[in-house]
Amino acid sequence: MSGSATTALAVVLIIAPLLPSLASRTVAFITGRRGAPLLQPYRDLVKLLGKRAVYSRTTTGVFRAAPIAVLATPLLAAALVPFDGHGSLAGFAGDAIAFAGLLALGRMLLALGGLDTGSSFEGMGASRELAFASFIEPALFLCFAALALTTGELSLGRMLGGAIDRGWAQAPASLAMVGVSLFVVMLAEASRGPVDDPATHLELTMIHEVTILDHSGPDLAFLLYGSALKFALFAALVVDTLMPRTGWPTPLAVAALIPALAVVAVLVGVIESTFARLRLVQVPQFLAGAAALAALGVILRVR
Amino acid sequence: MIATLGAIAIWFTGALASFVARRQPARAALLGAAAAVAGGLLGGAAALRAIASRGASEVFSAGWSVPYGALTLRLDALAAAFLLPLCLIGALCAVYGVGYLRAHEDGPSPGASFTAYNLLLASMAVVTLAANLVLLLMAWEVMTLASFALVVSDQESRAARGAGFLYLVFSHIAAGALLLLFILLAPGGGSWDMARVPAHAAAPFAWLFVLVLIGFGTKAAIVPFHVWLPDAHAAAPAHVSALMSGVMITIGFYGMARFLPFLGPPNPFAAFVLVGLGAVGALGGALLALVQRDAKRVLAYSTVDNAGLVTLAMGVGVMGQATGAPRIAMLGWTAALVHVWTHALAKPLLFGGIGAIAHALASRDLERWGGVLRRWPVLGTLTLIGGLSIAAIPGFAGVAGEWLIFRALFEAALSLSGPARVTALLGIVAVAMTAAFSVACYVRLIGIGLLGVPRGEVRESSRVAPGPAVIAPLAVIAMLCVTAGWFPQAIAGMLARPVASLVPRGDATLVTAMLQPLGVLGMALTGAFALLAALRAALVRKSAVREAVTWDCGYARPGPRMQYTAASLAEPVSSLFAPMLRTRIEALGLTGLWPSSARWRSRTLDQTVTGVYRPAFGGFSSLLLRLRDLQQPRVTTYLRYVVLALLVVLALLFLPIVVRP
Repeated sequence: MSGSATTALAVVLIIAPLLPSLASRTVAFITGRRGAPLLQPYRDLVKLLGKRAVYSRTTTGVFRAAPIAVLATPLLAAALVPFDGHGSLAGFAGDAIAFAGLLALGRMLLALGGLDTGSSFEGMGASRELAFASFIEPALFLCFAALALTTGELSLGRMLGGAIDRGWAQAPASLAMVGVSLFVVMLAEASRGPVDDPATHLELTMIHEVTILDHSGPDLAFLLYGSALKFALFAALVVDTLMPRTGWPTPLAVAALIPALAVVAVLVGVIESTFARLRLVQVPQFLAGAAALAALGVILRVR
Repeated sequence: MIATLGAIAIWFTGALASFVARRQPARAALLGAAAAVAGGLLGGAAALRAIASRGASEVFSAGWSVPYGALTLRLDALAAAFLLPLCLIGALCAVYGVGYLRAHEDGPSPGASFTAYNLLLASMAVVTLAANLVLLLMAWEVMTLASFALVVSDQESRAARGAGFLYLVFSHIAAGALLLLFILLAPGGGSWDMARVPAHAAAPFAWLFVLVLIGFGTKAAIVPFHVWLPDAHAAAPAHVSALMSGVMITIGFYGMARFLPFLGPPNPFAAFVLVGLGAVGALGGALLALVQRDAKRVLAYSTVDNAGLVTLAMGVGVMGQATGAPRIAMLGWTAALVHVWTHALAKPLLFGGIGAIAHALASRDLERWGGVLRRWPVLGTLTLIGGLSIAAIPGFAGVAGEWLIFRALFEAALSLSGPARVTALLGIVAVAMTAAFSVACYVRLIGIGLLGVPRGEVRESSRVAPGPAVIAPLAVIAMLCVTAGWFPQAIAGMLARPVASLVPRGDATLVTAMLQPLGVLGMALTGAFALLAALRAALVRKSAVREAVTWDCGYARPGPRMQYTAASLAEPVSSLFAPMLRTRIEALGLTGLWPSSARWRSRTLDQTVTGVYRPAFGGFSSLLLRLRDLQQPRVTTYLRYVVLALLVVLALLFLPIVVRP
């Protein structure tokens, strides 16, 4: 189990920057543009890692800690996700709760880093990020509750790796709802449309992009890679829920992850180009809808 | 037992010494703090031994001439679980208090302050140890009065007096409930010892439970009995707020843990009420903390939030007991006690840090703060650690309690059935939202309060940086917070025996094993952080770093007033949850062609105050006012009353004779 989990984790770490790139490429295709090359994010990362860093005079260590936290938390959370469809690299009963806690740390330091600059734009981004989190968090926990109720497990690795087959046999409707709900949570966590608009250059409408305005050089590289990795984590959760691979031979299960993640990314691109970005006041309704769907999945299991 | 008695004696002596030396403030403070520390060390050692040893509880008993009273003290595992944080935090806050009071020359007199402080420590210790109901009630009353004196000590201001009065009123409603509870529980004849409380109480369970909720829940800041807390904690000196919020709240929970078993067999009704009140308290406290402008009120409402989480966890524990699921009971009670401990660390750290900053900036208004971490890096970092701890971030103390609460709820949702399962699922949603609010609340407190550039005028000359007496105790607590984040299993291990005394059928080692991976995760997080920081340091050469103005989308001269404010940061949440918060907004919009001024003001009041207590107390007092009509300035009116009274008495005397056939 450990060997294939390591391989799958390595694959995800390598292809993570491709996901946002693929989504943007899809948007470009649908809107009739050519778009940036698929490998552009890697070039950006390499370029940024070699660049100088500029820090605002108002900032402190918190601003410098933010990119590290935004990268460190999905890295650790990645160890808990069963990318190979069989089990995770590390895990323990209740690690789903810790998974949410890790993401909260990333969010907290990202918002603090934004406020550290004293810029009102970044304050705006932090404020929105925190407000939407109060809907993402219950939706995520309801998804975990539904998964726990259908599988009888409390760790992500066992929920989505081992026991999900049993879940599909007993409660397919619940799991389908969880999959959709996780997809919406992914859209919000990865700052994609219709929650956020990664392509805009109008600061007033952005959430994630505006929070990281002041970061530069390697710090920005950390942030970009960290958020791409977070996208990949949630995409993998969606894939694991909707396409259980416990019965598959492990090499196939690992190999199947790559096209599956690509499909999720393309789907994100399609959604982004066919739906207008929601007005900020409507985003909570959208996220509450995801929570309600997950709650329905839970209710179907409770009866 | 000798050590515990010695600690209590030292505290009393310290109170006396500070009082005697009150004319020399410096000496009084030193004497008082020395006693608090010495008593804390002695009592803490005794509590540690009582937690660790497997032996029977230690008992001290002496006669007392008070009716039904006896000087019976018992140090068992449960008492030790509450005595230990009391001793530790009591000692550290005393050291902090010396520095704090020295800096506040116009503030409370150190002599009076430390007299009350030591009395408060001694009385709280006696409350946890008392094995006699009368003794407990007496110590409870001393605790209330000593803390009342501390609340009103800071300033001769109206606010402090108002806060003190509110606190006194609520404490006495609670004390009345306790008196009634003890009378209903009391064994017939002899001294009212806890050991002699009959197994089957004379009154129905629901009555006793409501009395426990009012009596102990008021101290424990359980909604809706929490309304005294925000005012009192904001008005008290920082070290007193720290002690009250970190420790005195827990004394209320001690009372609940101690007395719930006396009410009869565990009851599902009680479990649902506790989970419900806990969820409301956690959500409401976190939401209200998010919109407060006064930095200390943010912390005060955050205490209500955490008290709600503890109540919810206790409810899960009782639910496990009532449904015959020892594993759930074990998890719930351990979660409650672990959360009590981690909150007892993080909250004093925050009150200490925020109090020192408020003093240095001469304001408690978040909108006037900013730039603190840059100016006082050590103080700012310590406060940041407190914030990370209490927001339940992995790698810091608070995560243990919150993780256990989630774990207990998840397991209850999996293994229980019917209403218990639904309650657990609703609890998961409530705690998840609370966690998100609490992260937002501490981002706001730290991001607006400590980061950015100063928003108010900073007077360079008048205020000095906090001294070592302020910093050192906070540093100790911060180290404990980080250590607890790495080794959460140690906390659960230490609390295994106290929990076992509450849930005899549970396996206490279970929880310790559960928490181990969480500690590993915390350490891995620290390691990953260090590695990435080293990587970044290697990538960014010192020479290549440039300092510049905040980019601000091209605007070259950002000013302090252009920063995001605390109110604007909280606005999305407060407008999304407007039905719950009912924030009042007064906006004087722009009018005319060349508008010159505009005003915008938002104010969020506690709905329990405006919706429940103010109308209720108002109605009660207008009812009482009507009795005033009986008072008349003329003598003849009173003569009429006398005649009337005589007639009534005569009628009562003769009625039986007339009526008799």
